[in-house]
Amino acid sequence: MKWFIIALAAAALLVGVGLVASGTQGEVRLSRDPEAAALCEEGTADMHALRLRAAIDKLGRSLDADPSLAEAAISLAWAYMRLGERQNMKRELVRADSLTSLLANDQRRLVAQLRLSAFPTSRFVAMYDSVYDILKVRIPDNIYVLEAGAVRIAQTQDDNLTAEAWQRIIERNPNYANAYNMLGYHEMKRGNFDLAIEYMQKYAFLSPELANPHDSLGDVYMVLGRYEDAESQYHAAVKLQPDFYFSIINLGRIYLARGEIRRGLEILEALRTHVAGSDLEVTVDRAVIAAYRRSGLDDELATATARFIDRYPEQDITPILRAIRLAHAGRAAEGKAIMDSSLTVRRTEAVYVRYEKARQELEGTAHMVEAMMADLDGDGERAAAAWSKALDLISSVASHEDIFFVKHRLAASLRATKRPREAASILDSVVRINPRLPEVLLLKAQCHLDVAEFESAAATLAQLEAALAKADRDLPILAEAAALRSRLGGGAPVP
Amino acid sequence: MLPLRQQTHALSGLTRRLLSRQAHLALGALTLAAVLFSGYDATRTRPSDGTVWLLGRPQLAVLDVVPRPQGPATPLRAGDIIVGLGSSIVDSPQSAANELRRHSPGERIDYLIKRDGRQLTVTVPLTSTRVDLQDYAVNVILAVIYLVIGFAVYLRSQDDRPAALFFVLCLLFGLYFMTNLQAASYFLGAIIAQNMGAFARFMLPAVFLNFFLVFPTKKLVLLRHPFLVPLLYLVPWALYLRFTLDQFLGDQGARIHAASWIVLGVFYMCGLAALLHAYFSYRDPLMRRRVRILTVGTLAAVVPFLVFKIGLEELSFRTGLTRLGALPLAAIPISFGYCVARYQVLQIDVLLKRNLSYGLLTFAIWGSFLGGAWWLGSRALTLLPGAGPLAAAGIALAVAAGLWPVRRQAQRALDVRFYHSRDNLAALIEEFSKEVPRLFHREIMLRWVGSRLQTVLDLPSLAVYVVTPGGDGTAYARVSLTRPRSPYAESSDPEPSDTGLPRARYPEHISLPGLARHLARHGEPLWTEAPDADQALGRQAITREQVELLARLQEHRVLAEAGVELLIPMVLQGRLMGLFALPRRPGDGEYQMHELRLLTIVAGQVALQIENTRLYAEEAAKLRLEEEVAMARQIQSRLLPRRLPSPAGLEIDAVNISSKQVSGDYYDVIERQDGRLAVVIADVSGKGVPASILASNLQAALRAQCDMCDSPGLLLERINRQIHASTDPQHFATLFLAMYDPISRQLVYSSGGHNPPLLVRADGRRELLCEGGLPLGAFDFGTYDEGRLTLEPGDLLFMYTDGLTETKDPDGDEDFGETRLGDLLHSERDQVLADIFAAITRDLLRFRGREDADDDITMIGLKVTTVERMAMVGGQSA
Repeated sequence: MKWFIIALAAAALLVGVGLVASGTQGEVRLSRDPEAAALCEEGTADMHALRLRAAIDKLGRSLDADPSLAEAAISLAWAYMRLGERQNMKRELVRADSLTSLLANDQRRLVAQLRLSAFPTSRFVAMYDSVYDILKVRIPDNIYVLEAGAVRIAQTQDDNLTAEAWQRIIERNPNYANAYNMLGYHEMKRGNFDLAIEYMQKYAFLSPELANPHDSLGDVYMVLGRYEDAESQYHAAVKLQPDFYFSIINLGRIYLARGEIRRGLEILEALRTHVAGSDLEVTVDRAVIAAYRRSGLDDELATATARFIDRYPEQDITPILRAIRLAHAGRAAEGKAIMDSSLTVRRTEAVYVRYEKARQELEGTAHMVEAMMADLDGDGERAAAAWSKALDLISSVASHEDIFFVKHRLAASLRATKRPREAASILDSVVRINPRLPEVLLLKAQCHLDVAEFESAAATLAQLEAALAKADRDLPILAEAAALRSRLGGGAPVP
Repeated sequence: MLPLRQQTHALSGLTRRLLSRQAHLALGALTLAAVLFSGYDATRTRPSDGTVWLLGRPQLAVLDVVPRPQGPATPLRAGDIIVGLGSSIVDSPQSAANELRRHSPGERIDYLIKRDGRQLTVTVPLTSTRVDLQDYAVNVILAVIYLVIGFAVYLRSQDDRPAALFFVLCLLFGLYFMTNLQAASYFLGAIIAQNMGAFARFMLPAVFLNFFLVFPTKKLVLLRHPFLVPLLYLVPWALYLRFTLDQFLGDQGARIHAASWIVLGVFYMCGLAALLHAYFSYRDPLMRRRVRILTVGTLAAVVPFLVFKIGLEELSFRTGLTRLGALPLAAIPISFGYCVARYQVLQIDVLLKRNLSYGLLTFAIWGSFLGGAWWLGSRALTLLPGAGPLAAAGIALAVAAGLWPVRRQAQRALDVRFYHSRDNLAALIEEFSKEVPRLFHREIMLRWVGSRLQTVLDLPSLAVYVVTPGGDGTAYARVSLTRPRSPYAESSDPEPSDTGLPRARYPEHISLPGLARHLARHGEPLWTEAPDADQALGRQAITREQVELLARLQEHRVLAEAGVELLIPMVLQGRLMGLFALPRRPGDGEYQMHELRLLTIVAGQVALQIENTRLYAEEAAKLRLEEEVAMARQIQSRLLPRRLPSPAGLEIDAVNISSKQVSGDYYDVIERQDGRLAVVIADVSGKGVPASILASNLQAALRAQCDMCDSPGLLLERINRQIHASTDPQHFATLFLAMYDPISRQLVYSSGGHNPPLLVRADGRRELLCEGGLPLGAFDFGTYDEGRLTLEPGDLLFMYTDGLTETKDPDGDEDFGETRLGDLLHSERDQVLADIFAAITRDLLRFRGREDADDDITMIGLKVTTVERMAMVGGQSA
């Protein structure tokens, strides 16, 4: 009898606790339909991992099962956005917006509003800060709150804090793909290229159907001069997503970097033609200009710049491009006036005022423009000083390729002012990261010859020739390299 | 640190708790759950990549890859770190398991791995963790055999330690076989099951060895070294701990080291050695036969296991030998099962042998109970949509609890139908416990017990033997009982009974010196069956053990020939008080364990009650003795004169010092009509009332005839004849009679064997008054000489009983003696009698060294006073 009573009591306790637990779960359950809730959770997990097609499929099915599922609609809108399907995104965004307003649970509604506020076209954008501040206190470990926190920290320009914030997200959800992308770029910027590759590989592993991870991985390889690896990644990206134009531009850049100018230009021009008239045209044009500039293709750069200035007079870089173009045309004073005017305006912007990173970037650009003008004036000392200042300012904010460009120009100015050793040292820091930049290698070889370091010059020339193994035969730099080789063969230093 | 004794005590307390029934049942339930889970889990088709990895690392580091005899090879290899699989980044076995659940065996999925410091993606073909059907069947059959026999043994045993150990052994074997099925897996359940299996592998050898150290009998080494058992378990525990740590921190993963296998193998071999030792050390052929099957079965099981499983597979890594090592292990439970059924080893009631249908019906009841609980539970769950697993468990428990009384009633009805006596066991024990202590007459008590047992056990006959009072403890007398069906058949009644069996012919007396020691030592039921006795009896005994064994076998044969099959000893504090002798049962009936339990319990109660009746009788006798002593004292006190005469010129005084036991001391002073005084002192042989009565007779005879006879010798002669005629020859008395004339101071005396009184003259000379004859009452003949003497003033005549001179000193070496008495009287002769007696008493007390006397002491003195004194005394009298 005693055991019977104990068993009954235990059973009653279990039933009670079970029902209470079930009731508690019911309050936080996404949907009354368990299948819809499960599909929504799985779809959202896929979305976090950026398995976007799978996510769209599951989220769509969950919305079919329960049309009131606001979270599914938000995730769906986000997935469409990542895929670039704007119409679908807008449709789901409208649905998500209306469903969010109907959410009775405060917490769910606030989280939904936070997620919606990440869409630039959402009416919740203005509420972003206040919603985040509330949720940061209530549910600090929520993945969306953590992500919002990371984005906020990123705006403060503190890279280490930003990296920590993304790390927290990974600890919370190891399949949050975007965090790997962010961390990969962070480590790349810090020069931890192996770690960056690991992050990017994880990103690519998580989102095998997405082009972006391959593009990101290609970017790392590109910086390192591993153009073949980068090429295969960009190809993979384009294969997965043929309209992933960044990878196409990067493919063009690879060819330009390897001296395959015609092939590179062909791709870039074809791309320009392809995107003409679309929203992407300006992005592609900017990328093309940057590619020409980094590759030293002055004629193509002048044409592309002129075209850009004509088509996009309101873009932030347009005054800069115009100033440089005027300087090239011998109207440096006008160019400087335009530049100053543009700088004056931009220095009043909130971003400039609030963030050090923005200030460094803008001031660095200003010095770069000034240095270019000094170069055009033939004032080597002024140019070297300006490039040096620009380097100091952008070294923590600019991409490796921009830094390589500035260092190359700084070294050229230094050589012009009879400081070849300093120039070689600066170039050496570039070659240690990317040993296949032709202009850098040529200048470095020249610097070594200037100081009669023939062995180093010969080695550098050998590096240059290897880097240009696939280059167009009529590439001017090849002729310069041949000339240097002949001088080196005579054993006499270049006067 | 605690003293060794306390440590031992604490350890034994812990051991007791660990070996408690609740602990065993909890272990059984846990093991059963693990076995069922593992059995079910092994049948599930789950994808596996075949890797074995460390538990304790933050990353999934591959330690080993299980070879695939069939199917595509895996590109994974030891040293790889699994970063991601499928399309997920994994950082724990759980996340890996979750991801693998999304895939199916046969799929090829991408793995992101880190190898040689670089990350790369490889494609891994997944296989199934489901085991091969043949392996599964073999393991399940073996596990079921072990578990069924283990549970059957344990549930039928009564806190028997070997049975409990056998149960644990079976549990571990069952666990071992079922967890053997688990493949390397990320799944938590499988990991737990695998580790429980590893636990079983480590603990099995220790339990195996421990079992054979207490079975069939507890080995001496355990009694000599109480720490041996804890040490026994310490080694596998340490090895298991290392194994567990290795999984988390080491580099060997879920593999047992070769060194560990060797140690475990040694344990198995020690267990076998203990069993073989037990087998070969048995002198009793019957016991050897009982253990032979077990020995052969265990050897046949363990040796292949040691050779194929441990030796070849684990140490030399030759795979494919599992079945060769595992299959013979079935011999252990099978041989035990056979011996349980055939010989009731481990004290197990044989259920199935008695009735298979009982087992089937019990199974049906349990099946109905579980099925009904499941069905009702599932119905109830539909009424609570959305109830979680916790609520479902609660509902299942509630339904099971609700149905439990129904199941119990059904089982009870079945038990009553099949095993009426078993059902009544508790009631019977209660009845015996109430009734037996009330019966203080031994024969009535035994008659009642025998009658009830015969009825309850439905026996054709039964005899109860008790130890012969005053015997040497090895002879037993049958209690004479009569019953209408003549259960206690007379020895002259050899014809067959109505059951078809020859009636048991219980002898009136039996003598079992050999079996008596065995029964008193073990206190357990003894079967008289001794099949190999004839063979053994044909041999010549050499050693003492062999002689004893042959004696026991002879007694076995005598009992068997008398139709006695079973002896139930009544043992109390190591003493054999008696026996129940039970006959062979008709048909195939064997005595069941519950019957033996009843008989053993009743025998214990009867033994206690026999002792109680003996103590009761002793107490009654003691009470009777005390009453007798009181009466004797009363009689004696009335014999002694309340007041002594005080004639002129003579001082008379007397003292009687009583001992604890009343003796027959007597004195008297009779005033004769002729003016003479008759002074008597006597000591009657024996103690208590008989002595007092004889003394009373003496007094009556003397007082009646004293005036009729002037001669003390003649008077004693007459009295001798009278006493002899009226009493047994062994009762007699010594007596000294003196007649004193106070005028002439003439003293005539005669002694009937009494110790001679001492006359101390006034000048110090001493004389013994020895004239007389034999003690009175011893013989019907004899004359008594007389002595005559004249006392002078100052002379002291001192008469006494032998209690005075035979008083011993504290060491018991020396008597007080006549010499010491004479010297004392000589020195004190000038004192009045009261002072003389006081001096003697003081000296006696000093000599004896204690207050109480061993015998009564009586002293009487006559002292002739001087003229002046006489005048004073005479003046007073006047």
